[in-house]
Amino acid sequence: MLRVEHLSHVFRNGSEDTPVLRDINFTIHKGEIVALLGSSGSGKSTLLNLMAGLMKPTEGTILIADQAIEKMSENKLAEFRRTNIGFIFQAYELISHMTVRENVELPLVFQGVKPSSRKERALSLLEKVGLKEKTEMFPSQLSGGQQQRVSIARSLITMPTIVFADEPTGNLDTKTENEIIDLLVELNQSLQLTFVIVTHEKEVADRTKRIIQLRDGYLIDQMVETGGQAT
Amino acid sequence: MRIRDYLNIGWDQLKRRKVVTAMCTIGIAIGSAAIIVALSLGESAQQYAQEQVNSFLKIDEITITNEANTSQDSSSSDSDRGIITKQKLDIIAQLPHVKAVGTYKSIGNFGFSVDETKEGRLELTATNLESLEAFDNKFKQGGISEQENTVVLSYGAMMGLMDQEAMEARDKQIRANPNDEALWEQFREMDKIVTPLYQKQLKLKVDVTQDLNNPKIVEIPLRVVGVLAKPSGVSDNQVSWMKDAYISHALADQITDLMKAARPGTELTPELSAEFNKAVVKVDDIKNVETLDKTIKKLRLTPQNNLHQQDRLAEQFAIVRTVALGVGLFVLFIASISIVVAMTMSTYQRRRQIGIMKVLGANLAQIRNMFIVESALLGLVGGVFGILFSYWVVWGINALLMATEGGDQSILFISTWILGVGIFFAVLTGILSGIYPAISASRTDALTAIKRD
Repeated sequence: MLRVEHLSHVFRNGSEDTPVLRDINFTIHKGEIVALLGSSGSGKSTLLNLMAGLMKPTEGTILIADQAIEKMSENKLAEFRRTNIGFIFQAYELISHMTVRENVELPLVFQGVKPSSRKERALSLLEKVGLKEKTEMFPSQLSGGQQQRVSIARSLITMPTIVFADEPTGNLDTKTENEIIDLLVELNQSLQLTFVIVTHEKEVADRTKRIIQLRDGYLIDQMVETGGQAT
Repeated sequence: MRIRDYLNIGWDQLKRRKVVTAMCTIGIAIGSAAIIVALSLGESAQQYAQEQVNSFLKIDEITITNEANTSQDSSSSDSDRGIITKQKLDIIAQLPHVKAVGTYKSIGNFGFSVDETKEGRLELTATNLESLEAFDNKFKQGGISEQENTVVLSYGAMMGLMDQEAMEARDKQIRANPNDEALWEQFREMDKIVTPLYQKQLKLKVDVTQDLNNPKIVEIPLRVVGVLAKPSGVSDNQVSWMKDAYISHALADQITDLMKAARPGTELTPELSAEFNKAVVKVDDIKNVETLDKTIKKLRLTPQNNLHQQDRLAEQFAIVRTVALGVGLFVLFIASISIVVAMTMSTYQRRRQIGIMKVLGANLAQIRNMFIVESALLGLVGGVFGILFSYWVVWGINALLMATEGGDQSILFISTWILGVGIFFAVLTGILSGIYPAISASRTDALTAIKRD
C-alpha cells in the first residue's frame, strides 16, 4: 500500500544543509491506521508532506499503490492526489464561503463528477460523520470539532487509497479530540481505509494500531498494538 | 472539471468581492460602451450620409446632360454626339438593369397665386410624370392625371405662401432690420407654414417676353392633381427651399410656344429650345451603375454618376470608424490594467484557498482556468453593462440631435453585430487580463500556501 524506502530529506538554506529525515524505511498495509509520532522538529510533518506528494524528497522512494510519487510531475501528482490521497488538516482548512456540503463535494468537482452524484455522496458521508443536519450551514456556524468532521468527510469523498491526517486534533479540546479519534478509528474499521495520523501526542498515537516514532529525523521505533495499547 | 463548476466558482468569487467587481465592471463597461458607441456612430453616420447622398446625389441614378444645352454647333459631322434624343432614350429604356428613364426640361422659376390671395414661387420642370414615382417620389396626396393643365407639386411648394400685403410688410421689416436674427428666425418659421393646395387651382404667372424691362405676364391656370411627400431625412428647413413643380412635356411645349409667340424673331434660351435638358436613368442596383454608364457612353451621350461620392464617403467613414475603435480599445486597455491589478490582488488574497484546492487535487490547468473564467465573467458583466450604457448614450445623442436638428427620426442606432463586437471585446479584455493572474495563481506552491505561521 505505502512503502517508504531509504527516504532522506535535507532543507537547503543557502550553503547550509539541514537534514530533517535520514534513511527512513517502513511499509503501511491496506486498512491500517498508523500514528506518526514525534515531538516538534522530529521531521514527522516533513515526512507527511513527502508522502502526500506536496514535497519532493532529496533521496529515496515513496510508493503508494505501487506508484513512485517522487517521480511524478506536478500535474500527474495533482491527478494522483485527486484519486488516491485524502488529507485532513490541523486547522480544518474549509472554504469559508462554501456550505458544508459544497466543501465536502470539492474534491469531486476537480474530478468532474456530476453535481447530483456529488451531492448524494457528500450527504451520505456527512451522515456518517454525524452532520446530517448541518449540510447547508457555513463552516463559521460550526464548532471546531464539527469543522474537523467536515474535513474528514471531505478527505473521504473520493474513497482514497490512503488518508493523511496532520495533527487532526491539534486545535481541539480533549473531549472533542477523543470524539475525532473515535471517528477516525471507526471509519478505518467500517470502510477499511488506510489512515496515517501525524501527532505529537502519545495519547492520540496510543489509540491507533501502530506507531511510527521519529526523533531528530530518524525512525526510532515501530510499535504494534497488542491488546489495545501499542508496545 | 465541468464548465458549470468553473462558472459557479467564478461567479461566486465575483459576488463575494462586490467592490472590486463593481470597479472592474465600470472600467470594462466604459470601454465596451466606447467601442459600441464608436462603431454605431460610424455606421449610423455612414448610413445617414448615404441616405443624404442618395437623397440629393442619387447614387443609383445616372444623369445624362443634353450637350445641346451648351453647344449649338450642329455643323459638325458628329452632330448627335451628346444630344439626348427620343430614339436613344428608347434604347436606354430597353437596357438591362434600367428601372426607369426620366426626362427633364427646366422651364423656369415662376410666381403663382391661389384663391386670389396667397402667392408663392415654384421651380417649374417638365417631365414624363409617370416616371415620378420610379425616382423615389412618393405621393402624399393624389397622383398624376390625364387631364390637361395639371401640375404635381413638391411638399415644399406649399410652404411659405403669403398674401401680397404680408409679403410687402415682411420686405419692409427686413430692409429696416437686416441684422435682426430673431426677425429672420420668425420669417424662417413663416416659410415653413403649409397651405394645402391639393385639388386647388393655381394661377401660374409666366412672363412670356422674359424681359424684365418689358414684362408681359400671362396667367396659366393649373390644377394641383398631386402633392409629393416630404423626402425622408430632410429637415423642414430644407424642404421649405425645395419648391419644385412638375408638368407634362406637352404643357411645357404650350408654355414655350406662348413665349415664342410673344417674342417673334427671337431665339429661346438653349435650355428652353432643347427637347430635354437632361435625362435620368434609374438603375436597379448600385453595382450595375458603372456598367450601364459605360453602355450609355457608347450611345454618344455624356452620362454622369455619383459613385465616386460613395467611395469617398466610405473611405472617410473607415477612418472615423478606425479612430473610434482605437479610442474604445484604448479605454479597454486602461480597464484591463484595473482587472490585472484586481485579479492579482485576489490571487494573493486567495493563496491559502488555492493551496487547499491543490492539496485536494486541483491541477495547474484547473486553477488557471478558474481565474480565467472568473475574469471572463467579469468581462461579460462589464460588456452587458457596457451595452446598457451605450444605449443610454445613444439615446442621449439622439435626443440632443432631435432637439437641435429637428425631425422625429433617430439618426444614431446600434446594430446587433456591434453589440456582439462590444461583448466580444469586453470578454476578450477579461480573458487577456486574467491570464497573468491565472498563471501566477496556478504556480502557487500548495505547501507554502497552506503553511501557518
